[in-house]
Amino acid sequence: MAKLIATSAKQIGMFLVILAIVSAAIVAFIIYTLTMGKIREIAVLKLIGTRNRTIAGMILQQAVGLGLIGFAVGKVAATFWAPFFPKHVLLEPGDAARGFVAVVVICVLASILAIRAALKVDPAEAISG
Amino acid sequence: MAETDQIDKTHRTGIRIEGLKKRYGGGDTAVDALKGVDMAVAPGEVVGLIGPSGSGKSTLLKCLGAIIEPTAGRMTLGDHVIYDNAWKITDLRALRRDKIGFVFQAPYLIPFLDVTDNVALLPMLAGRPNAEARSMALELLDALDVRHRARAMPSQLSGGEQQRVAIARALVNRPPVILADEPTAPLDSERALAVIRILEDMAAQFATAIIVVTHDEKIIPTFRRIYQIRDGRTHEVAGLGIPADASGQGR
Repeated sequence: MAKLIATSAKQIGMFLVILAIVSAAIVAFIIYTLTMGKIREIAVLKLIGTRNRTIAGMILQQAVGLGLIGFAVGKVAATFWAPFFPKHVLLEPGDAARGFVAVVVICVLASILAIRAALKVDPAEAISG
Repeated sequence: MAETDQIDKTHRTGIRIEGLKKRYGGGDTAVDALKGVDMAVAPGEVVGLIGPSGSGKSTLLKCLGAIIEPTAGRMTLGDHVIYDNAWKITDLRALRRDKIGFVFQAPYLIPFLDVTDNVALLPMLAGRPNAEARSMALELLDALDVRHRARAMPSQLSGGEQQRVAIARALVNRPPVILADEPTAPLDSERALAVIRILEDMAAQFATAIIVVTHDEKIIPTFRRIYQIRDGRTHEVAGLGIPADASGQGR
C-alpha cells in the first residue's frame, strides 16, 4: 500500500513539475509581450532618470499580479472540484501555502526575460520620429 | 505679467546651441541629419520648433535632450557648456534628470506611486532627502493647481490633471530648459491652449526656457518666436504671439 502511494506521489510530483514549467513559460510569454508593447513608456521613464530597479519592479508587479489571479482561480476551482475528481484527492492545509509560494517564485523567474529586455531599451525611443 | 515682475535673467542663459552638426554613419552612406544648427532660448521664453518629418527635428530634440551625441558644435545649458565638439559632462543621465525637463504627449506617470512621490522621485534620485524632495514636489503641485490630488494615485486623476503632474515633475528640479515633444497632439483646442498657457506661466515663474516641438496648428500661433527646421538647418521666424488665455479653463 505504501508503495502504491509512493508511486502516485511521484507521478503527481512529476506532473506538478511539468505544470510549473508550462505555467512559467506562459507567464513569461504574456509578461514579455506586455512589456514589449510598452517600449515607449519604458524609454520615457528611463529618459527622465527612473532607476532600472523601479522599472524592473513595475514588471515584477505585473507578473506576480497575474500569478496571484491564477492562484486564486486555481485554489477555488481545486477546492470545489476535489470531491468530484475520479481519483481520491487529498488536499493538505500546507498545499495551498506551498502552491502560493511556488506561484510567486514562478512569476518572478518568468519575468526575468521581460526585465532584461526592458533594461536594454534605449531612452531615445521616447522621442517620436 | 508686467516687465518688472520678470525674474532677473542675467544669471542664466537658458539654452544655446551653435553650429550643431550630427552625422549618422560614415563614408558614402553618411547622412547629415543636422548641418549646423543655431538656437538660443532665454529663461522664461517659450519657443516653437516645427518641421516636417525627415527634417532633423527628432535628431535635434535628441541632441538638446543629451540623448545622443552630436558630431560637432557647442551646447550651453544654464551657465555651463555641456558640449563643445565632445561632451563636457560625464554623467548624461544625471544631466537629463537634473538639468532638462521633459514633457511628452502622454503623462507617463509611475502607476504604483502616488502623485507626490511621482514628482518627488526626481529630486530623490538627485540625492535630496525624502522630506525635502516631497516638499519640493508639493510646491510644484501647488503651482500647477493639483495640490489637492497630492495623495491620489495617477489612475484616479483626469487626463488633464495627470498632464499637470507630469509638467510638475519636469519642473521639480528647476531645470534651465524644458523640452516638450508634441505635448498637445492628442488634445482638442481648449485643452491644447490650456497646456500652452500652463507652460508659459511656468516658464515665467521658474525662469525656464521651454522648447515646444510641435506640428499642431492650434498652438503654433501662440509662439512669439519659432524655429523652423528643414534639411538639417534651422531658420528663426517671428511667430504671431497670440496669447493662449482666450479659451477658458480646459482640464
